[in-house]
Amino acid sequence: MFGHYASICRANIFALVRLLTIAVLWTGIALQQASALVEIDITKANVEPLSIAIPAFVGAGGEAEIARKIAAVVEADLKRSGLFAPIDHGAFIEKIGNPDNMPRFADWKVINAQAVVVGRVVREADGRLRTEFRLWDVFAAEQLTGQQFFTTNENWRRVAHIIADAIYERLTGEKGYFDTRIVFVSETGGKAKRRKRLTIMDQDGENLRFLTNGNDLVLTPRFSPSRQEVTYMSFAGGEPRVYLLNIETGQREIVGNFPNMTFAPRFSPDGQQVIMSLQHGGNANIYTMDLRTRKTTRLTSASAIDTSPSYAPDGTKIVFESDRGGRQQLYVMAASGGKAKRISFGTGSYSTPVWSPRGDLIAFTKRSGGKFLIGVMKTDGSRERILTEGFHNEGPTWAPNGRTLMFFRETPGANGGPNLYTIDLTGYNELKVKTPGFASDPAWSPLLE
Amino acid sequence: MKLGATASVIAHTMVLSWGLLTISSPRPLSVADVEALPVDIIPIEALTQTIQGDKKAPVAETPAPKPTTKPVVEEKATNVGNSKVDAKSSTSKEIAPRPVEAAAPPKAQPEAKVKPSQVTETQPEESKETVPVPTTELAVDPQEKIKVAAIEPDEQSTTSREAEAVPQEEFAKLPDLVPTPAARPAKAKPKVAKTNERKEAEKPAAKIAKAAPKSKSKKQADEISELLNRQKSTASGAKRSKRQAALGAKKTTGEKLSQNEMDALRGKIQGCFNLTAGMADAEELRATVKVRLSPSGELEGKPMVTASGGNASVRRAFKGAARRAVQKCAPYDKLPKDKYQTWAELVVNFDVSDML
Repeated sequence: MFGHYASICRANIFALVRLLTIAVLWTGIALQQASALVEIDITKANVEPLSIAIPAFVGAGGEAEIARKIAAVVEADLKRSGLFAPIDHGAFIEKIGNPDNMPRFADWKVINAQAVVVGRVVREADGRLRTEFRLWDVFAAEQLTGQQFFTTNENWRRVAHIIADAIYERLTGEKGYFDTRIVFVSETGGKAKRRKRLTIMDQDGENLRFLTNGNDLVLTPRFSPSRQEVTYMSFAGGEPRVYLLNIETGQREIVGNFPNMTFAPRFSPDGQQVIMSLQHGGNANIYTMDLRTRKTTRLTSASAIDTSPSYAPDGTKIVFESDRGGRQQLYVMAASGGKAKRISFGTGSYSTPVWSPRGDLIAFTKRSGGKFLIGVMKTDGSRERILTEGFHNEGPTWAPNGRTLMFFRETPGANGGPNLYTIDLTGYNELKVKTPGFASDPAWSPLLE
Repeated sequence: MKLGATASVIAHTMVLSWGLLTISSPRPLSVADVEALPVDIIPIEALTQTIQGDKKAPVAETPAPKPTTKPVVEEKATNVGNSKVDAKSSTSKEIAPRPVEAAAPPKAQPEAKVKPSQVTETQPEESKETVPVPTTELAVDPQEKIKVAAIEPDEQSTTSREAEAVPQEEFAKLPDLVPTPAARPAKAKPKVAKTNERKEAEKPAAKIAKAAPKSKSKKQADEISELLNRQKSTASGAKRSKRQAALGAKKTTGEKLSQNEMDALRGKIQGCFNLTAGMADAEELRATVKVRLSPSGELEGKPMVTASGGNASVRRAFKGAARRAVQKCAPYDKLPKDKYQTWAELVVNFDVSDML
């Protein structure tokens, strides 16, 4: 082994020996390290909702009741999202006395809570409510987030929604959507003579109020993605017109005055433009209109019905439905016009495409086999997934975080009518939305300012 | 009658004995001997361990070979002591070829004499001290030579005394070869005749060392011998399987968790890993959690988490979910205690790109 070293002078041998020894020692250490380690790859996860404990907030003085209600709204919001499983209060071991103290994590571990929310409500000297909360990670025994809010008494529900959003965002990594509202068409009266009114409510069904009086037919309300504004179609005066309504002020205006019928209006992501369809004889084409200059631009000129345009969140592309191929299919086109690319190829016809605020998916209504289905596909048309199907499902609208869809479902029969539903984009957690009567054409607002 | 009976008896006896010898033992049924095969059922992990070798292990397989002694050498040996004879005979050609390649270069340097003892013989002029070299006749097999080369340095100082002592005994045994020259301090010769054990190989070296200028300090030599000793010991150091180390595949791992144990661990962590379905950018998200475990399976200290992909808040949530999974699953008390060495550190990679 060392034979070939023999010819090397002694000094070199020393160096070699030393080197060799060091090398041997190091390999020894390396071996030790390599073997004292287990490496595991996890490629699947448990998609069960995350268990969370939300004990009633502590209310100083006479605020106990409102403190309890705020915690209850937070809990209901999180539960409705389908991503959280609030733990029954009866199981709680620790009673939260002072929310500034660290919870006894062992007690929460026992009941399998992965997170705990504690909070308190205090009446300030000026009469406002101070609401604060802390979100604790039970296993890491550390605070994940903590905030406080000052607000008037009437706004307590919003505070609760904002807290729910903060928790949602911290634990899922996605923006919340609880502090939002829904505009929809509320339908009352018999099937023959329905009274349709534009209505707004919180996303959990509270704080309902009517925006129109119901004398005129209203259709397809759409929220501005950047402002508390709604555009919708109304047949006031016997002719369909696109209106713009400011929710805060109640101010209403007609968007342009076109000789022909306009329909399916929708805002651009910056809220500065409206994109819609204008009818020309038997054809319909897509136009945009700048809301400040009122200048219109024509985007398509096919001899077909192009309608239901919807912007991508970055404003560079639009998706719309067209029957230029014979049947209604979905097409994607640059927002400035040009060549449209068909993206839907399944059996049946596709309509009312809506680009997800997250940008990765397009939701649509599909008609196939005598049924109406709500589905999503990637923006290139791949990976189409049907989320729900039934006698009549239509009009999907995205929650601002692109995670949940709302749509309306109509039940057949003389007493049947439309109702609002939400569903997770994974197809789970379908829930009926509480409305006073029948409801259709929902539109989800962006997060409130 | 009698004759007939006798003849009959004889004839019968003959026939019978003939039959006895030839017919009696029928040819044995030639069935190949099938040895019973002992079968051990061992886990694959044990197998991989048994076939693993150690690069640094002594070459166990090479048998302690019979020294490739040449009778010719013996003859030469008689002349070895005699410097005159040596000088006259242009020995180098005959002897040099036997020793290994190593022989060639050292000529130039005086020190080189030390190593390949054989060479020295060829150059008697260089110095008187070199003469003792005769030992070279050993023509030790390569293995032996190796030792000589390696050990030399420490011999220089430490063994000089020993070197002196030993020869005396040898002298007693084999006096006949010794007498030749007067100048010799110690005869290596006898050793040659006797055996070619390692010791002997060392001795000549020692002698030479004695003669050589004592340039190296004892301290250094000690150091080196220590290093050498240490190096040797690693071959059979701790953390080995009980089998004797042998040359073989590179040894990279010690004991490992079996596939079953790994699966159980994976399943456990997977069950604790709570993730939001339909997360944005889930394809790009990766996280790695590193944590030390105590022998009882508890986490030691906080897990180290790194994550990549997705936007900042999604990544943070993913990181949290990964960390929570590892923490929630603790303690890992189902891991085999006797393999603690192997799972003292746990690394979990999270990648759910295939999930959605």
